[in-house]
Parts: sequence; structure tokens; C-alpha cells
Amino acid sequence: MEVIPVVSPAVTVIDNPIFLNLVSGVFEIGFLIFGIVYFIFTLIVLRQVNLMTQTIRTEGGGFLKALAILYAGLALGVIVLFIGLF
Amino acid sequence: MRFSFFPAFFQNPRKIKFDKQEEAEVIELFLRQHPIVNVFWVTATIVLLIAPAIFLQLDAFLGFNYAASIPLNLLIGGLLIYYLLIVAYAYEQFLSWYFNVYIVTNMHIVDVNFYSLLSKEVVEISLDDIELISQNVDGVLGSLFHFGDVHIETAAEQKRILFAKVPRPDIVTDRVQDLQRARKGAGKGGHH
Repeated sequence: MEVIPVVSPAVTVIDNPIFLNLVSGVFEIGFLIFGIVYFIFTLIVLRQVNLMTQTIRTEGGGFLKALAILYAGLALGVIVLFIGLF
Repeated sequence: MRFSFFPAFFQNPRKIKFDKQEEAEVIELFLRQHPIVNVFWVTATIVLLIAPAIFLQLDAFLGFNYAASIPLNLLIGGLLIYYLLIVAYAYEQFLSWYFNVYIVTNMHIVDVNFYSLLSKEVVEISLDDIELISQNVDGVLGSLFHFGDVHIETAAEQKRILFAKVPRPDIVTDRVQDLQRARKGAGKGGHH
């Protein structure tokens, strides 16, 4: 009598390269969308910091502006990193 | 120059200016909420920052190896998103604290509110319009760190202004009353 190996259907699906590619693709797109939305958020922060430093001019204003620019740069770097990760 | 991580109380700051400041207007007090109000988000940020490291250590130590089963690029991407969200939270909290300021000048009281990243409000009221000023210090933290609320009732369109959780509320109240008296005195002097 031929012995049929018992394989869990879950393992079969997870090991399926098409399924893995699909999951990886979904994550790739998700990460990329997150990166773009995050970059837009940092631009809003930059705009708001500019507006507030004009409203209240303190000694720390220049530093905060520089920090906001760096923050936007970081978000842009993250998008590049996400593209490189996949 | 004295450096402070979270400066919140300035008397006669000469290097601070605000948007609608008049030529003869001098800032007498420049206030933010007491630095202690930042303790919650600073603590939360620190805990959230170290949480993944603790989780990964525990995961390896207890032999679950959940992290090892996740593809490396997904793990790095996930961690990156997690840390970016924490940075956004901390930065937004800091900006909200930094730009919510209360200004007392020799002419006005100015309340600058930075509600979110998309809205701000600037309320300016003449010292002449102030009808009543009171202060209260609440709770253990307020007594311990000497901060509280200053309530200002006015005859202007904006009936009430609240200086929330400002350091040394007694000094703030005294200073506003002194300025008001000086202004009224100058006004009376001007009629003679």
C-alpha cells in the first residue's frame, strides 16, 4: 500500500514561493506608502515649525528649523532605504 | 547663558520677540508649562525605544525565536516604522510644549496655542481689559514643583484666559497686577 505523507496545509501555503512573494510584495508596497506618508508628515512639521518660529522668535528657533529640515531629510532617506530593502 | 533642556520661565527676556509685538512693547514674562508636564511622554518614549531590544533579548533567552522566523528585511522595515512612529510622537509632543506659550508684556497678555500640527491660535488681550486674576496650585506635583494655573477673566471678547501649569503662578499673578496698576497710574497721570 502506498503511504501518503501527511503535510499540514498551513506549512504548504507558507512555504509556497508564490505566497511568499505576494506577502513580500504587499509589505514592500506598505512600507513604501508609509515612507511617503511619513515624508509628507515631516514636510507639514517643517512648515509648522517655520510658521511658529515666525510667530515667536526665540534663540532656539534656528536650531528647531535645522532639526525639522534634518527630520524631513531622514524621512526621505527612509524611503530610499525601503526601496533598497526589497 | 544658562542652558536648560526645558526652559519655561523667563523674566524680561530681551532676545525673545513675538509676531504682533508693538514697537514700545516689552516682554515682562515669557512662560511655558512647567517642564514636569513632559515627564509622561519622555518616559513613554524611553520605554518604547528600549522595548524592542528587551523583546528580542527575551525572545532569544526563552528560546521562542519568533524574531528569527521573520525575514530580515521585514524585521528591519518593521523596526524602522516602529522607531519612526516613536520619533514622530516625541517630536510632536515636544513642539506642542515648546510653542504653547504665554506672554505678559507691559501692554498685553498673549496666549499662543499650538493645538496640532495644522492649527494655531493667538489670543491677545490688553492689560486694561483684565477684570480678575487668580491662581491655584493643585496636587502633589504642583506643590512639590511649584507650578499651577493662572486664571484671567477679562472684559474683552475672549472672556477667560488660562495659563495652564505655569511655573511660579504667584509671581505671574503679582507681576500682572503690578503692570496693570502701573498702566492705570500712567493713564491717570496722562489726564493731568
